[in-house]
Amino acid sequence: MSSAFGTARRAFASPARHPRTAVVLGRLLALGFLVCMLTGLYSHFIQDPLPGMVFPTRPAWLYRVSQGVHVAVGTALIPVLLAKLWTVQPLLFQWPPVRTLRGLLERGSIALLVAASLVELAIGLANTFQWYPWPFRFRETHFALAWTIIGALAVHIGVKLPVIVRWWRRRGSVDAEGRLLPVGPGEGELSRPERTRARGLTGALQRRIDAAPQPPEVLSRRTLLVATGAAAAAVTATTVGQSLPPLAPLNAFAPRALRYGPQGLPVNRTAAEAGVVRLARDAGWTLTVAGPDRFAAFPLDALRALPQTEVELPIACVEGWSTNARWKGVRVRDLMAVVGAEGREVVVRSFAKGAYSTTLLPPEFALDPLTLVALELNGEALHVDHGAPARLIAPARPGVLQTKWLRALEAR
Amino acid sequence: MTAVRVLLGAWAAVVGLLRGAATPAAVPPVPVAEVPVAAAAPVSGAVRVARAVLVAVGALLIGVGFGLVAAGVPAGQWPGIALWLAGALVLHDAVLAPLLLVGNRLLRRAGGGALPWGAVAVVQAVLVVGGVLTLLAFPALRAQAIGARNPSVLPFDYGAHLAAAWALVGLVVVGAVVAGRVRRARSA
Repeated sequence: MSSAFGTARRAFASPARHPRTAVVLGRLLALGFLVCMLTGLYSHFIQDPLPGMVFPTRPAWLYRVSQGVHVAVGTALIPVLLAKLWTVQPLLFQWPPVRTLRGLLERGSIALLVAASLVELAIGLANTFQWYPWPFRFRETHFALAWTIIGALAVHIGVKLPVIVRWWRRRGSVDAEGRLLPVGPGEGELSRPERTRARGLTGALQRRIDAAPQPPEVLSRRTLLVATGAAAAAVTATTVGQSLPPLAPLNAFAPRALRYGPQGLPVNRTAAEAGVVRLARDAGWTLTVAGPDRFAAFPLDALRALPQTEVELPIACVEGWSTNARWKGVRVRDLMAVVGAEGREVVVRSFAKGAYSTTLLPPEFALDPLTLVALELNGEALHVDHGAPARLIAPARPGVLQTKWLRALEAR
Repeated sequence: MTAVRVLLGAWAAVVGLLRGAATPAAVPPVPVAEVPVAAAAPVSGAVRVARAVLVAVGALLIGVGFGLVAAGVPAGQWPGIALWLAGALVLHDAVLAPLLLVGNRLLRRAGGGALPWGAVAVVQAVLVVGGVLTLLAFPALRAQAIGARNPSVLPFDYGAHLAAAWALVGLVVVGAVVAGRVRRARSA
C-alpha cells in the first residue's frame, strides 16, 4: 500500500507543484476569502444589525460596490481554489496517512477547509442564479461556513507558517534562470518522492509514469499561473457587466443584465408573486404615516402635491447585480416631520406578504435627504413590479430593504 | 462532524487499498523514502508564537461556525450539510483530480513528440479557461431548465454563449497546434 501511495505521489508530481506555487496561490486565495468575509459581514449586519450598530449612508454606492465585490471575488476564487488544490494534490497520498494525533487534527482541519471552501463557492454561485439544489437553508449555512473557512484557514496558515515564511519572497525561491529552488527537508512536502522499484502492476504503472516526458520547469509553473489568471479574468469579465456599466457588453454568463427589466431595472419579486396586484392598483390607496402621538394619511394625489425630490440611486441586490436609476418622490424626512417624528427609527410596512414585508429604517437613513417614498422611476409612474404606487428608496442599502408596495411608515 | 474531519484520510486509505489490491502479494515490500515533515525546519520564536495564536484563533472561529449552524439551521438539515461537505471532497478528489491527471498525461505525451512545449502550454491554459466557464454556466443552465423566477432573471441563452466560448477555445487550440507543428517541422 505504501508503494501504491508513493506511485500516486509520483504520478501527481509536476514541476509546477511546488511549495512556492502553493504560497503564491494560497495568499491570493486567503486575501479573496478575507474580502468576501468582510463584505459578507457588512451585508449580513446591515440586514440583521446587532443592537447599537450604525451604518454609513454615504457613499450612496457603498452597498452596491461592496456586494458586487463580494459576488465577483467569490466567483473569481473558483479557479484560484481549484488551482491551489491541484498544486497540493500529492499531499493527499502521504504515507502513512496519519502519524500522530496532531497529524490527524491537521488533516481533519484541511478536510474541513477544503470541503467548506468548495461548498461555499458552489452554493454562493448557484444562489446568484436562484438555483437551490441543497437540502439546507442558504443564508444561515453560507454565513456559518464563512466563519468555518476563516477559522480553518487561520489554523492552516498557523500549521504551515514555516513553509509560508520560507517561500514567501521570490528572491530566495528561484535561481538566476527563474527555476524554483529544490525543496529541502521541512520546506514543504511536494517534491517528487524517491523511486520505489516495485514489481507487478504497481511497478508497470511506475515505469509508465517515469517514462512520460516532463515539460520544462519554468514553463510548467507559468502555465499553471497564467491559466489560473486567465480563467479568473474570463469569469469576471463575462459576469461583472451585470453591475459594472463599462463591462456590460461582455456580460455573457451573469444571471442579470444591466438595465434589463421593466422601466430599465431588474426585478426580484414581482407584484404577482407578492400577491399585491389588486391592492397596488386600488384607487383608494393611502400611505399611513404615524408619529408618537399623531398620524396622517396620504392618498396618492396628496403625495404628488408635496414637494418632490429627484435622486439617482442604485438598486443593489444581495445577489450581486445592481443598476442605477432615477427616482422621484417625497423625502421620508419631510413625511415624518409632518407627524413630529423627524430623526426617529421608522418601521416600513408593505402590502406584500412574507419575508421583508416589514423592514426597519434606522434614524440615519430616515433623516438622509436622499431617502424617498418614490412615486416615479426613470421618468414614469412606478411599474407595479417595482412597488407601485409607492416604494422606499434609500442610499447604501441592499435591495431587499428597499421596501415595495408601501402601506405605512411608523415612527418608533 | 468527526466523519467529515477524517474523510480526507479515509479517502486516501480507500484509494490506497484499491491500488494496493492490484499489487501481487508475493512482491516483498520495498522501503519508501519517507516524505519529510515540516518539523525538521528550525522555527524562530516569533513564528512559534504566531503559529500558536493562529491555531487558537482559528479553532475558536471554527467553533463559531459550528455554533452558527447549531443556532441557525434546523437539526434536520445538518446531515444535508455534512453530506454536501463530504460530497464536495469526493467530487474533487475522486472525479476532478483524476480527470485532470489523465488529461494532463495525454497532453504531456504530445509535448514529448509532436508539439513544442509552448504549444502544449497554450492548449492547457485555454482548456482550463473553457472548463471554468463551463462550471460557471452550469448553474445558469440548470436554473433556466427549471424556469426563471421572472423575465428579468437569466436573460441570456447560456447554452449558446457556452458553445461560443468553446468555439473560441477550439480556435485557439487549433491555432496553437498548427503553429507548433509548423515550428517543429522548420526546426527539424
